Amino acid sequence: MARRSTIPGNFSHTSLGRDYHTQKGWRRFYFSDSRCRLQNDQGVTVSSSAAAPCSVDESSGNTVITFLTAHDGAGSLFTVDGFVGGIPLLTDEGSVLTFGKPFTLKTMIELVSISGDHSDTSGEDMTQPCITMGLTMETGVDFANDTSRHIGSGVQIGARSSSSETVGEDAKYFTEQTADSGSGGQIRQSAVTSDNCKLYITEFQVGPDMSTSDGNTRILRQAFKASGDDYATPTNTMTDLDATNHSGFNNANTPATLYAAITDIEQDAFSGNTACVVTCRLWYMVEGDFYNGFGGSGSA
Amino acid sequence: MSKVPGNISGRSLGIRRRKHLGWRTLDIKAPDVVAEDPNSHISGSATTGGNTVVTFNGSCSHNTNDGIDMAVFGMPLTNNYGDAITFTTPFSIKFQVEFIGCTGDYKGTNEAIPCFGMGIGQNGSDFDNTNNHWIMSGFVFNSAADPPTLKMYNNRANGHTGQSVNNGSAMNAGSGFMNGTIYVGPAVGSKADAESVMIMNNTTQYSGTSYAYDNGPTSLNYDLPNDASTFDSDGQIYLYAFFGTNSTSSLDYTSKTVPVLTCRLRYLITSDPGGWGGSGT
Repeated sequence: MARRSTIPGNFSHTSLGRDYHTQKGWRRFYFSDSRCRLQNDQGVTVSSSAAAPCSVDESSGNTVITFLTAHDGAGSLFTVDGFVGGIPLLTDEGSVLTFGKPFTLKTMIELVSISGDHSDTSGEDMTQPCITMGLTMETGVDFANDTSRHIGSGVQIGARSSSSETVGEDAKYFTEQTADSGSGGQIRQSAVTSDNCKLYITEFQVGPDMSTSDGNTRILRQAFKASGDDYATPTNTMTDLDATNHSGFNNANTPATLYAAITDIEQDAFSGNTACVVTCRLWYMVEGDFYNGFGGSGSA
Repeated sequence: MSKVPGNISGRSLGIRRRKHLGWRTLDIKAPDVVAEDPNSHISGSATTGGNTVVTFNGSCSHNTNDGIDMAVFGMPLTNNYGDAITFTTPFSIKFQVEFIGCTGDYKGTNEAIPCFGMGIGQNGSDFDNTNNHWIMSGFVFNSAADPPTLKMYNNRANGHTGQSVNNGSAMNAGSGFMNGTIYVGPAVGSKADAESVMIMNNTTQYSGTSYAYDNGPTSLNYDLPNDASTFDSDGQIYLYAFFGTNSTSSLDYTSKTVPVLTCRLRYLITSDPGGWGGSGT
């Protein structure tokens, strides 16, 4: 039985009431989260009908993606045109962050394994998975909407099952964002070699200006090998991506949605393949100031 | 006590009891701050109501444009729960450098050229020692007007013992509110690898003009470009504020009124003391 301390000044239970947060540090992004809004009706074509390129099972605690064994070819290279899930970005007390609130956001895609038929090589008509995480102004489930402003980054897996390559081999990292066009659409920056990297880490900066939008949204991204390889990064340049006037976030009142997106960018039809299965973990870390905003009056 | 079925009272008890919530002011007078000014760039400093007020020295014979050689205030970086943040743990930080005003003589002939801002580094003291690695951002004065025009300013370790600076282009008066982010990847400390650290920032006008850009989008990046300049400590990260005169030639302030700078320095941070994870298995 616990006994009350009688030592002068020894206050017990001083930690009660602290750290009773809902979230702290890394959080996992789960497509199976009850808050997650799913776009799972497009991405590839199967017998003239649009279909999601994959299904996801997270019952093991990991995100396990099983791609279709057959499709008529992907119509798009953009992950937001594929299987997408979006959750509201919340402070660690659960307050909804809008694009007008200051927040930090770090995301990490951790590749674990790949199996089945997969390849980035011409002539091998197999699944070529792409996975991204990012921010979007889409508040429904139409993440592919051309006018849904978004910015994100991720990995284009290049491993070939025909050579028994592991998930990080020939991987490339890339970014996506809304196109610099009044009519919307998406643009995709050239993929950069990140051979044998398993960690794709991105830092986001948004605001405070919401009217110009050009340059008000930026990401920094880099790719690293796993902890057992000392997190080494083989890429020579760490790069950033700025939003343009037609892609920067432009409504301070819109809730910020964190999305994860998956697609198969294989452009040639295939059938009868062994399903490609990618196992990964999706992480994010966020802090915001829901109550005080950006401040910045410029006066004492 | 509520009698409404399902209306569970007291659900918020124990919530929001963090040491800090949201923005935190970098208080250069906090008890855990180490202040050094080995080259006598300033003569006094104070904090009032969240503002930082710095008085520049009556003369400065030290020739530098590196913030790390100016007056530096360093404090251990902790998250909102008071957990120490080390180079082996992941964190995400946003910072603000807000110029408020400056009195006195500045940017004229033989007048101080105020430079100030904030960043992170690995030394808790002896900040200008060549064994320190750091990266910082802020402003440098670009005119003698009131208010002055500013340029964005970056300073970093470069190589094992070197340092370098880059400035943004001149901005119009009224652009003095910087919001920045520092990216620190897992390849630092004993696992140091180049291109794992970068600082980026944007500068806008103030809240009264909706944070508008007055002469186009203005942003600036700076990274730690090689293995030697990358943070090589696994220990505590320190948050820095710096203030000084940005001049590579000697200045004689005789008969001048020394500048008194007022600004606000704030940061927003989260971290995971549990580490990066990322086994890939």
